[in-house]
Amino acid sequence: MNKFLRYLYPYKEYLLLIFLVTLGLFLQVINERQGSSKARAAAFGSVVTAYTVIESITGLLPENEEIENLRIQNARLNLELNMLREISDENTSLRSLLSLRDTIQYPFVAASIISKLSGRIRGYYIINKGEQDGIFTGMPVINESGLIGVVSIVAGNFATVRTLRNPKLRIAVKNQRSGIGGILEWDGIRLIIKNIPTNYDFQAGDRVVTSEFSTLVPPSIPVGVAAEKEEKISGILSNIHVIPFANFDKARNLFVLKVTLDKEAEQMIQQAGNQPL
Amino acid sequence: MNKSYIFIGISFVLLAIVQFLVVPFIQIYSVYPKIILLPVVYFSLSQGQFRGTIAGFIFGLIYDLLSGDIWGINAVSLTVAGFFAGYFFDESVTDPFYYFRKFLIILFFTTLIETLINSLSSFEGLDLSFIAFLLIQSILPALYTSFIAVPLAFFRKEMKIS
Repeated sequence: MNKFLRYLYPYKEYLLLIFLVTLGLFLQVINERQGSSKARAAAFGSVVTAYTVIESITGLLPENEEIENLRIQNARLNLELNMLREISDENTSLRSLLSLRDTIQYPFVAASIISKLSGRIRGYYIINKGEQDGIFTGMPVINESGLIGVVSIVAGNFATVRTLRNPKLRIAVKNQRSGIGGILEWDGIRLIIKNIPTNYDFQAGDRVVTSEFSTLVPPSIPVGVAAEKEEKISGILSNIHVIPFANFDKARNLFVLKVTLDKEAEQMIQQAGNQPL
Repeated sequence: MNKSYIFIGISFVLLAIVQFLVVPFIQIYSVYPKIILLPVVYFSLSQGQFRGTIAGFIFGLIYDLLSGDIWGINAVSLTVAGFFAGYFFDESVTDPFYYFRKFLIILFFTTLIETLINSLSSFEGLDLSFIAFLLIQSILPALYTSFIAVPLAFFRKEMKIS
């Protein structure tokens, strides 16, 4: 045994590296389990003290009730303006109008970003509002310009927001003018709507909003503007590049819409399943 | 306990808080410095590869817990960073800042490797070429981190012969 250990001794750094990397990867696998998300939420809630101290020292995010109210009003007006644009469209159905009215009526919770995790590849924000403010996983997050993302983890006073700049977040969107729908995703550099048939009416300059088919966010929240139509090699399908209305680099103040569509949809599906045919 | 361990530990916690709360606001086009690597590289260069690897894992795990990021993701990348920086450990150099240009070059390449490993889990599902991914996610943050570290040159101490 001693001989064996003596043999391994010169390689101790490599063995340690393998052991610790394996341990780290094991932790990452555990993360996927349901129970660990609560532990993660509790752990990252530990930054409360540090945040409070730093905020009080630096005053990085000075908040004033009046400014906050104005921002909420601004965001509400932006949604309302978007609704009015939609109403003017002759093809808008009664159903979407009702949905829009509902969107504006959702209560807002104003929040500030306290940290932006990662850069262009893994887009997460941490905001200073959490479970105690009535925020839950799946709630959409906007700013005065448009959609930012969806709440992914919630702790007592904090929450993480998975932004549109995260490849794991895919949102059903539509062209506000023509009603053509698609799935919006982040490819690492740009927001794109993939595989739109080339002959469909989707032009540069068209406004892109969330779709009625989305189970994550309410319909008609402004997302961005179509910038370019890139035809694929086959020529049958195209990718649409979308420039978001929201500036993700400069965003600091956000609003959480207090609605969780996925849960509501899930409940409805369950209720439908329980009813006799 | 060795005083330098306490110093490095405290530095890490402070830098982790700065990384978490202040660095997001000094990012340039989503490129930001990874300043939590400074104590890891310093520790590895002053204490050796074995201790540097362990320190990288512990620091990474603490940062994962504080930041709400996926547990283990920074632990793995900082472990590899500590291991890599430890290759350049020289017992005769008492202060890693003494040969400051060498320190900056090691920091640059350590950041390059760390950020690459850290973001590899997100590479899946992206339409980026690997070169573009490397540039955006590793090379630019590594340059920014090295640039941020330049003022540390003022903390150089006189070399002691050991």
